[in-house]
Amino acid sequence: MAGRFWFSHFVLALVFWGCSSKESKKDNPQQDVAQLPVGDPQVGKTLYATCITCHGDAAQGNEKLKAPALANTDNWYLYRQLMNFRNGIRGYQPADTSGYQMAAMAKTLKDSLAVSHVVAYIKTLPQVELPSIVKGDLKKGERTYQSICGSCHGPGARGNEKMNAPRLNGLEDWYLKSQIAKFRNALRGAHPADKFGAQMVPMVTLLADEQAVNDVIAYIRSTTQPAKE
Amino acid sequence: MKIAKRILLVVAIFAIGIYCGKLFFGRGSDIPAPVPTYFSQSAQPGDSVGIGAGTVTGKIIDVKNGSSIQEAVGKASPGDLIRIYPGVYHETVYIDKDNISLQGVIVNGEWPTLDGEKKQNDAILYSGNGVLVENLKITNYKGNGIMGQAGNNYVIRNNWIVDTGVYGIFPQFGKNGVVERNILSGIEDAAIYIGMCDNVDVRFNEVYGNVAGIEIENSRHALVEYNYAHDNTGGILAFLTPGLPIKTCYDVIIRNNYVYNNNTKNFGAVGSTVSHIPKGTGMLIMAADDITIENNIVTGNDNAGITITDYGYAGVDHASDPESEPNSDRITLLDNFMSNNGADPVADVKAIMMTKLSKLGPDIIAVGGGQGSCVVNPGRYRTFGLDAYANCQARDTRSVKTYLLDKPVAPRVTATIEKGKMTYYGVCSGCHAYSTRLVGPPVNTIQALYKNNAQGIVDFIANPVHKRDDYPEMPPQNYLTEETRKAVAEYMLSLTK
Repeated sequence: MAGRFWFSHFVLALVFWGCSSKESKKDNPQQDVAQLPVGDPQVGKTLYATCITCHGDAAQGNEKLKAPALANTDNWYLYRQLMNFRNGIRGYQPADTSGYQMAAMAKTLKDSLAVSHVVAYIKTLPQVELPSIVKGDLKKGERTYQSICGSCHGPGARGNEKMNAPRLNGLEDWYLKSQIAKFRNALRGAHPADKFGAQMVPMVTLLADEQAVNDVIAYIRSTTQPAKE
Repeated sequence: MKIAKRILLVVAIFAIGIYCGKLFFGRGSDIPAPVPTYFSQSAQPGDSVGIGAGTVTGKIIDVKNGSSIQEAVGKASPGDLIRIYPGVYHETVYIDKDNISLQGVIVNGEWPTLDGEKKQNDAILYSGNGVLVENLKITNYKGNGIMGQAGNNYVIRNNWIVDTGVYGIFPQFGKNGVVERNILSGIEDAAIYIGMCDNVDVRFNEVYGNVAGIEIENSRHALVEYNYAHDNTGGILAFLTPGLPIKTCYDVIIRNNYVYNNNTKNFGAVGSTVSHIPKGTGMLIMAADDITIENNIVTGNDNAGITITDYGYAGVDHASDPESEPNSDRITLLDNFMSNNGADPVADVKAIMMTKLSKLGPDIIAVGGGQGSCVVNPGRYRTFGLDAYANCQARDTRSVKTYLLDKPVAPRVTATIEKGKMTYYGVCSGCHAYSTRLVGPPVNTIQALYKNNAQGIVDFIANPVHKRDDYPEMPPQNYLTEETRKAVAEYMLSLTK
C-alpha cells in the first residue's frame, strides 16, 4: 500500500518535472538549441525537397541565389543556425535580405524534431568541393587567421564544437565574405539571444580592411578539407 | 644434460658481463651530473652583488625524499633556507613569500628531482622577491620549469631542466635578477625566457634541443654572456612582441656566447610566435633596439648566423599594435667569429641570395626598416643588407660588467587597486598577448568570448577545460585567490591594447 503511494507520487513528480523543463525550454531558445534531437534522414529527405530550390540537391549551394553549401557543415552547427532562424534571432531584419528569406523558410519546419530530420539528411550527403574565387596573400592570411580566428575556429579552419565555432573551410569564399560583412553591419550577431553570434561582432572588427578579409578567406579556402568522422 | 650445461654457461657469461659492466661504468646513480661543457669559469668575486637573494638570515629547513617541498615553504619565513635532498618530488611549489632560498643538495651526483610526470603544469612558481632557486633537476612538467611572477631580485642558478613544456626558466616581469649556469633541453617554446624584465644577467647557461634557446623579449638592460646555445631551432633571440603591456625591448648586450648548429626542426605549437622561427637561426633580432653583439662564436647555423629584421619581413602583423615600434634600430655588430652559416636557408633568404649571386646563405642578414646601426669590419663575414650600416664608434663593451643593480630593488606595488594589473603583467601575459597569438589565445578574443562576463573568466581560470587541440592546456590558476582572479578578469576585459 505504502509502496503504491510512493510510486504514484513518483509518477506525479516525473510529470511535473517534465512539464517544468519544457516550460524553461520555451523561455530560453538557446537552451533548446543546445540539444540536438536524433533525426531520421528518411523523413529529412522529404523535408529537404523544399531546400533544393536554393541549396541544390547535393546541398552544394548556389551563389546566384546567395545560398551557401551545407554539405560540409557540421550537424550541430546546422541545427543551431536553423533553430536561430526559426526562433527569430538570426535573419529577423528585413535589411538582411538573404537571411530574412532563410528565416521564412526555416519557419516552415514544424518543430525542432523536423529540423533535426533535415540535418540528419544533409549529413548523409557526400562532402562537396568548392571553387575558390577570392584572391589574397596566403601567408599574410595565415598569420591573420592564427592571431584572430584560429583560437576558436581551430587549426586549418576545421571548426571546434567545444568553442561553439563552426568549420569554415567547407564554406564558399563569397559566403564567408558576406557573413563577415553582416557581423560588421549588425545584421548578424546583434540579437541579445544570439550569444555566440555576438562573440563574432568584435572579432570581425579586428580584420583591418578588405585586403585583410580577402587574405584570411583565401587562406581558409586553401586549407585542406578533411573528411568528417 | 649438454643443453643444460650450455644454458648455464650462457647465464654465467651474462652475469659476469653485468658485474664487469657495473664495475666499469658504475651504478646508474653514479653517472656524474652534467656541467656546462663549454664554459667552466668559477664564480667571480662580486657575482650576484646587489640582488639580496640567497642571503640566509633565518633557519635552515631540510626536505628529505618522501616529504613535501611546499610544506617546507609553508613553514618558512623570509630569510630561511630550504635544502632539498636527493629524491623524486612530484609537486608544484608556490613561493609567495620574500627572501626564500630553495637549494638542492646534490649528493654523489644524485640530484633532488622535481618530476611533473607530464600531469602537473609547473614545478616552481614564485611571486616573492629575493627568491633563490638552485641545484634542482626539473623534468616532465607541461608548462614551466621555474616561473617568476613579478618577483624582483631573483637568482636562478645551476638547475638542470629537461622537457618542462612551454618554458624552462621564465622570470616574468622581474627586475634585477640573474639566470646562470643552468642546463636546459627539450623545451617547446623558449628554454630561458626573459619576458618583460629589467636589469638581468643571463650567463654560463647551456641550452640545446629547444625551439628557442635564450629569448630576451620586451625587456631592457639585459646582458647575455658566456652561454652555449646549440642544436636549438634558434639559439639566442632578442625581440619585441606586439600586444604585450611592455612595449619596448632595448639595451641588450649579447657577448662571448657560443652559438652553434642551431638546426633543430621547429617543434613549437603551430601558430605560436616561436613556431615562425626558421630552423638554422643562430641569433635573431626583431624590432629590438640598441642591441650590441660582440665576440660570439656563431657557426654552423644553416639558415643564417645573425638575422636582423623588422615586423614586416618577419610577417608579424604590426597593425595589431601600433605602439610597438616595428624596426630594429641602433644594432651594433662588433667583432664576432662566424663561419659555415647559411648552408640551407629558407626560401625568403634564398631569394635574396639569388640577387647577390651567392651560393651560400649569410653569416649576417639585415632586412626591413631600421636606422643608426653599425658594424665593425664587415668584410670578415658574408653579409646581406648591411649596406646602410656605418662603421661603429664603439669597439667593445668592456665598461659593462653587469646589468644588475647595486642594491636590491623594492618589491612591486601590490595594493588591491593594482592587483589586477600586476597579476596580468606577472602571470597572464606570459602566454597571452593582446592582439597576437603568443602561446594562448589573444586577449581580444577572450574579451569577445567573455563580454560582460568577468565571473566566467574567474571560474574558468581556476579550473580550465582544454578546448583547443592545437593549443597547450591552460594551467589552473587556483593558487590565486578569488579576489585576485576577479581583479585580473576585470582588468583583462578593460584592456584596449
